[in-house]
Amino acid sequence: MVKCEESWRLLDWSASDPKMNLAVSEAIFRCKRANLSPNTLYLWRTSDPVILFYPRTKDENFSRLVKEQKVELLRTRSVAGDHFFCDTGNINFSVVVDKKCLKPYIEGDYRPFLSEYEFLLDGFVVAVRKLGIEAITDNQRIFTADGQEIAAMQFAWLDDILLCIGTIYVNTETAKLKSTFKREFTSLSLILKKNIRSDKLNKIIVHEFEKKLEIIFEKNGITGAEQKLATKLYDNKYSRNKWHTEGRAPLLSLTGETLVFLYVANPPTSKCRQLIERVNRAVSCAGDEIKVILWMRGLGEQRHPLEAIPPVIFRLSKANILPAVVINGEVKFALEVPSESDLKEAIQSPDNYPNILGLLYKKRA
Amino acid sequence: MDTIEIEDQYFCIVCSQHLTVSSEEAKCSFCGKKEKADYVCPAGHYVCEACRLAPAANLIKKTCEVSNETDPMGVALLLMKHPAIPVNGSINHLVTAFSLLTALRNSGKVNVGKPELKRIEQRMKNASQGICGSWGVCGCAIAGGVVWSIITGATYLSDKERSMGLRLASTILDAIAQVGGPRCCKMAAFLAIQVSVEYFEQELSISIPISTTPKPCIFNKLNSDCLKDRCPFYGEV
Repeated sequence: MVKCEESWRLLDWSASDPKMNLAVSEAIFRCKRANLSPNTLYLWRTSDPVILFYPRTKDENFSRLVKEQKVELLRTRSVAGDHFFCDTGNINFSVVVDKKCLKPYIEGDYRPFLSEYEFLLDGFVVAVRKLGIEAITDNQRIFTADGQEIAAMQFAWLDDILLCIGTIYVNTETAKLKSTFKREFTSLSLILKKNIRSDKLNKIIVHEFEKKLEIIFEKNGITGAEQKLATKLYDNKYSRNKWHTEGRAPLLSLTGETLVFLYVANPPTSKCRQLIERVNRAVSCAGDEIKVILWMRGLGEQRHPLEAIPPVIFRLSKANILPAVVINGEVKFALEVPSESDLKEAIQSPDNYPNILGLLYKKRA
Repeated sequence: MDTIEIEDQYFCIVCSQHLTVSSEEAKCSFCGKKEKADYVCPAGHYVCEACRLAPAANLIKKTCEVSNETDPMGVALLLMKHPAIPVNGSINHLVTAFSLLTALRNSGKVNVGKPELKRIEQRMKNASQGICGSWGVCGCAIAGGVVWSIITGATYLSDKERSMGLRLASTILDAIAQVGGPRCCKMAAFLAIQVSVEYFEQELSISIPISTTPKPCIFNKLNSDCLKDRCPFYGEV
């Protein structure tokens, strides 16, 4: 077995705002993908009761709970797993890891992603068992022997980098959940009939992960790059209702720069070249906060594998709307070459310029 | 701060050779327009500015209106190489229909003008994306049927012509179904053209021989669902 030599960090940082914790988790995830962060275990708590969901898991029953119990619904960037509730009594966790580091430890039939997520969840199962609770797991939740849920997890991935966000119901007020979730819940304190100190469980989790992965965690704080990105993600995404209710957020580059996509002909026409030159001039004195990507029609997504590809590129391609300027995922200019000052302003303050995709579609129709 | 270098090396979309900067006049390989060229390839291919920016349907119409090609596969392959035509999608149905009708017109045995091309476009609008899966009918088979109806004047009241149009479409569908697998609009278009050419020869004695082979298919790397060895057009490029 060849062990992965990458280091592991136990994140020494705390915020009680669940939105900030989601922003930090995503920032570490993105920075890890950009080779700027180590594998990380982050244990966190929330001051307010929240339900963490992603579109596939959103349930209509939530609205009643949200209204009556003042629980906030927060959207995560997960793509698999299940929604879950957390309040001050939960221990929440975010794990960011390169899946190559888990491969040597995975036994039995290998199932891409599922095996890795099962392995990570198993780390928490072992920790729960240390408290004397008989715990079993499927690949997204932990249950007591009689089938009551005591932990849940959601997943996301960017190429080989995995993000797991989950929760353990430690001293949680589970009663209010039972009528809303179609699942049986309990908490560790209810099972053991005593309050459980979260720092004690945290220590057990850390210890079990160290044993499982044959590592020693380095207790470190958040890096400058992560902090900067987390603040950006908080300001532009997690603190805004638009993200939580409609799933809409600016599509920033991997490391948080404003992302300017130029969609042009292949090879660029004189109009496209004029646009490229103007964009270059508009961003030349804009500092390091902007990333410009040239996307030539028909050359496909292999050309820019690292950056998030705005879904809108496919729609522009289909409707043959070019040249076009896409800023943070929204079409700001198309078909004509905008002035340098308009470009500058739109790049600096994208929110001041509307997304004109709908209008363009109407025009084409 | 990132800025974009305008690349000095592009590839010809028709033959994949390196393009060189030019200031000479050149003829567009698609619409035939002559203009001062910016980039041409050693084989003389040039794509005019309007065609580089054109919506797919406009490009197909413009190209077919001026084409002298009598090989329908040649017309289809030229159009398919243009970046406006995606690997999959309903525009491939239109490519199939226009390629067949253009070759028939250029053979001199069928009287086809702009009104017929316009009619094709209108009729093919109903053959939307994904209907192979949701209706059990591929748009490329519909293209064969539409071309048949236009050149024979068949309507829903016609007798023999109507039946023969149905037979052509069903023969194409059978050929596509026999290959199996998830959809590949290129494979469906190639098969529809092959089957239609044989059918026109057999039933109408109109010959539009295929001289360009689509094998090995140059689109296989662009199609994540490529059927590879199951496809009659697959081969190492």
